[in-house]
Amino acid sequence: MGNVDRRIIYVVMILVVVYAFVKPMGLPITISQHTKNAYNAIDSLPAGSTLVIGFDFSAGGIPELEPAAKAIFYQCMKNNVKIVMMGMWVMAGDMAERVLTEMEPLFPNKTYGVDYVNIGYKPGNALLLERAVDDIIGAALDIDHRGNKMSTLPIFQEFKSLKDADFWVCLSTGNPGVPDWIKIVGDPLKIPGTTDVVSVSIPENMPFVQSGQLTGIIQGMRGASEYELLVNRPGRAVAGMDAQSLSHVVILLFIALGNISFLMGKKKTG
Amino acid sequence: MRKELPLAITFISGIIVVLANFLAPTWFVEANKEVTLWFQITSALFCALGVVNLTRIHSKRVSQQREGWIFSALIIASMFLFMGISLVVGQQHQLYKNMYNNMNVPLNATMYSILVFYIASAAYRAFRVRTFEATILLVAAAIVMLGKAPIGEAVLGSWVAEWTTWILDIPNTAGMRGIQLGATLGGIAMALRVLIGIERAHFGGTGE
Repeated sequence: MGNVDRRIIYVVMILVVVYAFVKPMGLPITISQHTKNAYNAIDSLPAGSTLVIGFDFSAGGIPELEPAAKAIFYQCMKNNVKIVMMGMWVMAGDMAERVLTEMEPLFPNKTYGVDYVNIGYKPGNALLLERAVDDIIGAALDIDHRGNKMSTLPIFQEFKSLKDADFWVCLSTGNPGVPDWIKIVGDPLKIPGTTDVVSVSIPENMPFVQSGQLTGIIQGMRGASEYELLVNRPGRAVAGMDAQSLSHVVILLFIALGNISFLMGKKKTG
Repeated sequence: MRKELPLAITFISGIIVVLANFLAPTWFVEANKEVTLWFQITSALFCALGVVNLTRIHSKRVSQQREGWIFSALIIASMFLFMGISLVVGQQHQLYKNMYNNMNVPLNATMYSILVFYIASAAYRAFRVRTFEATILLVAAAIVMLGKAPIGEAVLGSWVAEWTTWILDIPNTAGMRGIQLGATLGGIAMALRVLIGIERAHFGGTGE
C-alpha cells in the first residue's frame, strides 16, 4: 500500500482526467473576491481607454492563462476598451495570435491596429518595459507581430508609450513577469494593474495583492473559470474544473494511502 | 585586458543604471536610455549566438555518431526548418501557423502538463506525517487543493474556500514576503559584488 508503482498512479490520473472531460459533472463554481476585484477594475475602464496585456508565458501556460486572456479581450471589446498586446517571452506574439484567432470573428466591427494590436515579442526582458515607458514604437523597433509598421497604425497615434496605458494585465508563468510590470509600470507611473498567473505562482504573487500593487488576481485555471463566468462566456477553463477537481481528489487519496501505510508501518516497528 | 575591459564595461554601465534610478540627473537618465538600448540589441544577438552554439554542439554529436545523435540531428533539422519557413513565408502564413500550433505548442504544453504525473507520484511518496511541521504542511496543502477545486466546496461546504483564502492571504503572504525581502537583499549584495568586480563568475571559468 505504501509502495504503489508510479505507473499505476499515472494511469489512474489519466483515467480521471479523461473521464472528467468525457462526462462533465458541472460542479458549481463560486467566484472569489480576488477575481471579482480584477474583473471590476477592468470593467470600470471608460470607453476609449487602453489596456495593455503582457503575454509573458509560453505554450505550457495555455490551459491556465489563455481562457482568461480570451475573457479579458471579450470584456474589453464589448466595453470599447482598446487593447495593446505585447510580451517579454519569446512565444508572446504567437500566444496573443491564438487569442485573436478565436476572438476576431466575434467582433467584426473592431479593427486591428485601431481597437487592438499585437506587438508580439521583443527582446530585452524587463528592459523592454523600461524602453516602452518612454517610447513604445522605439522599444518595439517600429514593427508589430504581423509585420506592420507600428507608426502607421492609428492606435499608436494616441498610445505613444506605456505612460498612456490606463490599466495593465500581466499573464505570467514566471520571470520576467509580474514583479517587472509592478516595478517599471505599476508603481512609478501609478498605473493600476492585475495578473493572471499559473497556480504554482499564486503564493509568490499574493504579497503584491495585499500591498495593493495588484488590483485583484486571477488565480490559475480556477480564477480563469471564474472570469469566464463573470463575462458570461463559459469556456475551456470552466470545462477544465471537473478535471482539476478529480485530479486533486486522486492526489489527496494517494497521499492518504501513503500516510496510512506509513503510520501502520510505524506502529508495527514500535 | 581580457579581465579589465569586461570589468570596466560592467562597472560603467552598472553605475549609470544605478545613478539614473536614484539620483536622476538628466545626463545619467539619457545615458541609461542608451545602455538600455544596447542591452536590447545585445539580447537580440543572444538568439543568434544560441543558434550558432546549438548548431556547433549538435553537429559535432551527429558527425561523431555519439549516443543519441539522432536527437541532435532532429534538433538541427527542426530548428532550421522552422527558421527557414518563417523567413520565407512569414509568421502570418497558414503553413507557419499550422506548424506552430500543431507541433510547437503541443510539445511545449506536454512538457509542462506531464508535471501533474510527477507531482502526484512525488506527493504520494514524500508527503508523510513524519513531524508536527510536516503534518501542518500536509493539512494546509490538502485544504488549498480542495479549496481550489469546485469539488471541495460542493462536498465539504464553503469553509474550504474560506480557509483556502485565509491560508493564501495571511500565512502564505507573510512567509512569501519574508522570502522575497531576503532574496532582494541577497540580490542587492550580489549586484554590488558584480559591480565592483568581486564576483567574476559571469566571465566564465573559475573567476581566477
